[in-house]
Amino acid sequence: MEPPVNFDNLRNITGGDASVEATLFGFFFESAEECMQKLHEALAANDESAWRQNAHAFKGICLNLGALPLGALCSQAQGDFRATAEEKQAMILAIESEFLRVRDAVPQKA
Amino acid sequence: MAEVFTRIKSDGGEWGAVTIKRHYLRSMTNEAFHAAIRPVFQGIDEAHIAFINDQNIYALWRGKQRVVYKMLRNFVSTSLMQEGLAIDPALLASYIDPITRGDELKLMIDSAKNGVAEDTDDIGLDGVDNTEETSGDEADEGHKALRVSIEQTELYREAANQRAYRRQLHFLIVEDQVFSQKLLCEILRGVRMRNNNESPLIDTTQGVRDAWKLFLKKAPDVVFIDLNLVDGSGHTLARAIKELDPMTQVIIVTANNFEEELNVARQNNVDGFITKPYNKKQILDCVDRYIGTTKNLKGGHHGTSS
Repeated sequence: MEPPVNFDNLRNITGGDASVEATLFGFFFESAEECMQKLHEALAANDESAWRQNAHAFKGICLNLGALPLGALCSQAQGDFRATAEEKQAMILAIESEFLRVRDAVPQKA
Repeated sequence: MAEVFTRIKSDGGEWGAVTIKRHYLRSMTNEAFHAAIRPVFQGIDEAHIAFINDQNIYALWRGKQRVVYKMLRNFVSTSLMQEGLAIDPALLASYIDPITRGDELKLMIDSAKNGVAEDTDDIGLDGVDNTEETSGDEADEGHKALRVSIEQTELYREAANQRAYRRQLHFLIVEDQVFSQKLLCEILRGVRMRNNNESPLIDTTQGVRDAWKLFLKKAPDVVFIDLNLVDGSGHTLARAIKELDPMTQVIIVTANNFEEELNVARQNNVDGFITKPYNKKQILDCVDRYIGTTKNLKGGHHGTSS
């Protein structure tokens, strides 16, 4: 199974500074939780445009972090913005499940 | 320097328009300027020159846009030399600026027609005033929101002219996700110019309109723009910036790796298109490229370190 996060690129950017990384992780989780909340809202409102936009935004931060499997799920959600409500519900579950893997992989404290 | 030129469509053809800094040609009277510039417009169906205030001379004409623009550049360059000001060709755009907004052009035409301006001259050879409503870019609502007044344009020019003398690089990051903003900041904050060790200035914002305001006020060196922003498309912002100031380095940073997005970016003459995930080198290469293109402005001894 692919690791949930590849930290190589991030560490190249931070120079391995653990405190900078901890700050960035904090921003990532904040942004990610907001994206997931908005995906739930888009599903409830049957708003395809909002769904696609938030899946896209989520994909962007996942790729930047190095959370490539989660990014791939978000990319799929973005592309399948016309899916049924049931299919979208399944996508959110998959995203949330992968998100937990990312959370576990990220060092909790610098 | 990339050739800068503006075309504004009207029903009767395409207009060219420029503003010329009056105070750089201070020894030349309006009458002398008018007489000297008249030959430039030989063969032009319609042209106006307006001495709106002590600071600027506006010229607009219809037809042969590129030819006339080049002649105007040569005229200004020669006039500046006669004033004892030998300038770097790269700085010429500071002295003769293409006007990029349909509403500015319309304002000037109206001013010329209604006599609102302090002093205007119709130097059209046929003397027929057949100006039509300018279309600008009516179909693009987002773009209309980013139009600027003449006063704002002048303020921007003042800020942009200071670029050459800044000791720090100035970046603007337009990105709706805070995490991505911070990541880009982390890459850029290590950038230094080789002849000093000052940290760059970095502004961040999440939306098109706020970014436009910041851009006009601060004239950043390099603007990084995400495409999906909270209040519109990054393409709109990129286009407005490049139209107003082609010297500004605009880099699109997006998770959309689509050919059509790339094509739009190309049409907008952006300087770079980076897809997420990006790495440090990609970003720093863009900054280096900017410093390379402006080394004449900044002394030619700059680079980045990180």
